[in-house]
Amino acid sequence: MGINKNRYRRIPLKGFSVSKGRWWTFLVLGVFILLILPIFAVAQPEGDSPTEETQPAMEEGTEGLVEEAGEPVLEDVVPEISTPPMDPVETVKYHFFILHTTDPTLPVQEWDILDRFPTNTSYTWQEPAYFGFWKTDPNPEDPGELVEPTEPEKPDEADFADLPKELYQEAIGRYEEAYKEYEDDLEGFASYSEIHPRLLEEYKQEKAAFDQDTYPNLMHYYFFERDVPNKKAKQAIYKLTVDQVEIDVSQPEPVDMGTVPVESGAPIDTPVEAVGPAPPLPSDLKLPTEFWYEDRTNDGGGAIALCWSTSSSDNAITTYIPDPPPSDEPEEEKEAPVEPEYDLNKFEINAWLYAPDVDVPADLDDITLTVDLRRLGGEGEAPLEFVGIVDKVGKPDYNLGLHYRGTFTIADPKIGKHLIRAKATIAGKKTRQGKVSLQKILGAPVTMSNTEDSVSDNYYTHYFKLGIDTWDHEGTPRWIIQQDSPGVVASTNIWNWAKWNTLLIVILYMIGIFWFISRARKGAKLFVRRIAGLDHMEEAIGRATEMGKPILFVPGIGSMADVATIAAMNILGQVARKVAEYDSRIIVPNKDPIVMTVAQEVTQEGFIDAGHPDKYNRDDVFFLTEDQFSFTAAVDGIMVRDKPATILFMGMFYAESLILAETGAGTGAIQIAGTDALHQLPFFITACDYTLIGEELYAASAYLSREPLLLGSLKGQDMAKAIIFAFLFVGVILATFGNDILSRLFNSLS
Amino acid sequence: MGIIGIILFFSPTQTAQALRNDLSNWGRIILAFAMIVGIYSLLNHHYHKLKRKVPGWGYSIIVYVGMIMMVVCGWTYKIELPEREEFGTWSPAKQELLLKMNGARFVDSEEERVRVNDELLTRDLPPKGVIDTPEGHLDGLEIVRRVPIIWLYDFIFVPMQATMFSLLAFYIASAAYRAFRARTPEATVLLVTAILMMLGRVPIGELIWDKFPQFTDWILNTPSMAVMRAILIGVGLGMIATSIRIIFGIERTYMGGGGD
Repeated sequence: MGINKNRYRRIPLKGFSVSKGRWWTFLVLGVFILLILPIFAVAQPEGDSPTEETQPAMEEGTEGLVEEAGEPVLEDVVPEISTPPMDPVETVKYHFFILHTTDPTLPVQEWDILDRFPTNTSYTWQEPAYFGFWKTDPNPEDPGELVEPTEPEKPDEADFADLPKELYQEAIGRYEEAYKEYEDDLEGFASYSEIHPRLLEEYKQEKAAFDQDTYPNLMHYYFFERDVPNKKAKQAIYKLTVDQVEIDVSQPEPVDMGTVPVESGAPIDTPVEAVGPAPPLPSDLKLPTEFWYEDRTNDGGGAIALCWSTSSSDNAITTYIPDPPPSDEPEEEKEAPVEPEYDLNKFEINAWLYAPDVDVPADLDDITLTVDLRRLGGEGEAPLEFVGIVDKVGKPDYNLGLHYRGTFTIADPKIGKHLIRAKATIAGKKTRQGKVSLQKILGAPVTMSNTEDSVSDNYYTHYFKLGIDTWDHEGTPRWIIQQDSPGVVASTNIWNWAKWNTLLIVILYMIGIFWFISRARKGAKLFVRRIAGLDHMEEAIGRATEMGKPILFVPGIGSMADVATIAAMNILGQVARKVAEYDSRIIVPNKDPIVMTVAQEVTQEGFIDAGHPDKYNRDDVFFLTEDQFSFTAAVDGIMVRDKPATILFMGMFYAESLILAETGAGTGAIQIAGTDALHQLPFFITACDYTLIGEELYAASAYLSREPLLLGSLKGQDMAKAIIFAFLFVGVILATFGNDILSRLFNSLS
Repeated sequence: MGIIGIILFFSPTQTAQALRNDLSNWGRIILAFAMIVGIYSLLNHHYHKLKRKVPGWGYSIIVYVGMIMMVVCGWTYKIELPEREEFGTWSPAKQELLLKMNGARFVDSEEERVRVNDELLTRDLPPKGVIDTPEGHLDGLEIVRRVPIIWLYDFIFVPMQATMFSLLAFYIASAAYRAFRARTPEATVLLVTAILMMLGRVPIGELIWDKFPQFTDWILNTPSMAVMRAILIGVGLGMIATSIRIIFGIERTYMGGGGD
């Protein structure tokens, strides 16, 4: 088909051609730009850090205490705190604490101090911990102690007299390997022991200097625990640009303040309240401007997101997974003391067991759980048996829940949280072994599941506060950040609203594709740029026919789950048709059996469409092996023996790409490759005559068939790419001026 | 099914996750049956080669022999653990070797046994690999040792795999020799960049100029990364478009059907 070049004008972006009459393209782009610029004007970051607000309060002599009109909460009980001299004493680490309660009437000192587990998955809050911020850089590396390697013991042949000889030989082999490692370690030890004293001395000097903050121009970064996988938390960086932290820790320990009423509804602009006397916070420490909590919208269970921010752009989020509510908990347990002393000998068992291989009667209510405690106690106690109530969790035939609540005594007081083996007898049949959590009673029951993490709805209303205190402080933190957020109830979410932007983009993309397809159906001429590899495909097939040699089509080593393999199958159909028309032969070796069956059908269909169904040879499309390099070796063998004139590599390739391409080049075949594996593209480009790069592989079926519907989807693809490039361009400009609204727009929420 | 797959991506409920797991399991089951078809295809392919005595038919015999040998060796030959009393009389080295070869673990203290049990149960592994201290019992532990199959794997299969993989180094050298020639301006740029990258990755480059490694990192992390990401964007869009075409039946070539 000819292309009237006078009708089309190519703009300087390669691969993106716009016809003269496509004025609407620029209109769309212009509208997008005009929409984005006002957003930039509106979404300016808000005011300064809150330290300026808190700093005046501290300088007035009521450090840490923020007084509100009409609400002198702690003023009468908190003695005056004099401003300490700002002499550098030592570096103090500060941490955030999260306080939790389901009863907001409790005084803040009686709220639970919770741990923050840096994970986004279901997790149960356990012991109190923290995440905090401290000086990190530079940190001299401790060379450690000098440990001499130990020589491995040679196995005695007499010990293996009654065993097969291979076992002794294997033992000797392992010993020889271990001895070689030992010799290498000895060499390394000898050289390391010479330099170790020097390293140790250097480390001590650097550590001393580091502790004394004598590094010049040192920038201290305060951020959360370094092992935090939650990237959001890492964004909440408290950056100090001073050389050292000046803090006086010579203040006395805080006294017991007694019961302090919780002031709910405190306005957000009074962020910090001191609970007891405490040294002042660093003057340039950025405190969170706001702290709130909400039900997570992207989980299938009862998770609550705790969020705080220091500015509009810094957000830290962690997750709290509340425990399921107890069904028959007596009310007296709720009145447990603040610091109960639990009996180490009392335990509670909650067990959830797998029973996939047992037919569970619908009316089953009798499960016998046998807990083998001998492994724990070790004092000859007989296994305990008790019957529990069937709580069916999940599918009735998949797993069963045994919920037993009772106490029994174990003599060993050291037993804490252990996982022990448990078997359940259900309707007289034994199940697989399950897991049973044996945990101490701390005033509230705890449960553990050995099914996939499942969090049921929690009907409690949860309240949180954010506190700040020094690293070594125990108990309620002395600075509490007030917030007026109401309590939150965790609930199951049917839809993950954190991915709303992904859904929106996909829907818009689909609309664009369908629109272009509809235009194609109406007969609009759609231009597609030339792709050299596809243009020469017919020529390559003709070459093979003239030479009387077969065509080798390698559909990659991916499975049918890979889109690249599907694209390869689409190309195979077109190629098979051409091969049938030319009366040639095509060989298709496969690594995956499912891909082989699809390839057989596609090839056969291609021959049928060409009108030569009798020429199709099913044996030419075959399975080789599922092993990567075995497949490579086999295909190399085919190339060397059958000497195809044309080799097509289409689909997903990995490390074997260069081996295949080079072997094919060595046989003198013309090679055309197409893959979306970025790391293999250089190899194909080097060794093959033509290469389809990335999306050209997906455009191949449309390009070869020239079907209007497929061409329409191709144009939709190009339009989406143009829009993304426009967003990129605008986003780069905005980011240069410190505005990341576009990057946040494309990030998923969490 | 395509629409369901899209919905499952956006739904975090346990039902959706369970359905997703079920779909994955279905795929594995289909793959298992497809493997039977694949093996039949392979054997049939080589049978025809043998029957027609095409050049290279000797390799087809090797295929048959290798397959039969692996299957037979895998099914046969196992030894069982002796009675606990006899096992207890073995030396620690002998006991440990037998247990290590079979993925078991020998514990020599109560605390370690509890700890290992916990660890195995935490990972949903049955504690069959842990043997009690002599005061306890073996609990029906069985050790299986397939010597010939492991010998075949360790000394034939793995070296051959390593051989194929090691060919890459030589092929890279030959491909670089062919590709890095200054015939065109683009090829010259490629040649110069390749030389700079190679120098930056070896110690001598740092000796020549101490900033070489940083320069090569910059090449990788800035211009090269930019181009890779651009290609990735195109690939991603292409994948979505192809998937949409398949889901909505616009393209059915892969099923053996036409586009309309």
